[in-house]
Amino acid sequence: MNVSYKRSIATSIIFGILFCFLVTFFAVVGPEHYLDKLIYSIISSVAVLISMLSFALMLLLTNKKENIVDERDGVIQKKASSVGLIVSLMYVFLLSIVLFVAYRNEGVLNVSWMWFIAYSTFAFGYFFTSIIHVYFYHSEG
Amino acid sequence: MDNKIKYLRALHNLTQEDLAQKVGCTRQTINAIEKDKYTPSLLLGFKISEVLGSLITDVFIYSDEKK
Repeated sequence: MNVSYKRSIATSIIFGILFCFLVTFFAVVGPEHYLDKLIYSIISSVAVLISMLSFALMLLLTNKKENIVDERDGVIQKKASSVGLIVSLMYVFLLSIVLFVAYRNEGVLNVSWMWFIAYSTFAFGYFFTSIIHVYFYHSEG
Repeated sequence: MDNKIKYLRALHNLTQEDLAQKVGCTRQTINAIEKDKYTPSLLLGFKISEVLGSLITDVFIYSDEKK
């Protein structure tokens, strides 16, 4: 298991947990009440901050002189990033379309959905790209 | 593209890790090349051939040649 593979697994865990937390938290609080209390925004922001700090700590702990990132790692990273970007774009598109269809008759959309789209896309993008990274490492030896 | 890396490694008494260190890549990459799951760049191919003391055409077999 090389360092890129280990980092991908750690990244998928960190941002998978963040994505699940954001979805669950937003579902529990509800878009109508999300902006009622400042504490909700603070909790979500702290969750993102903790994830980013964990990610940075993971990079720091796995950054050793003897690490080798060779050409195969580069190829897999490029492929995973391309797939991750396309799927993230599809995620935003599908989410936006679903919201449009759901709220079309009401004529207004709660602004807290914008927050959710932003934060969840960030978490989903990192999570899915790292999962695809792990998949490519498995499928390509 | 088939290759004789495993055979030549055994001839030179090299492990995958030894070969990887000599050519500057990871053991996993050498393993993937041997299993024909990854095609190395020309530069890496030449480095591997040099370490194994053979011509690149002797290490890597282009598929048409097998026919």
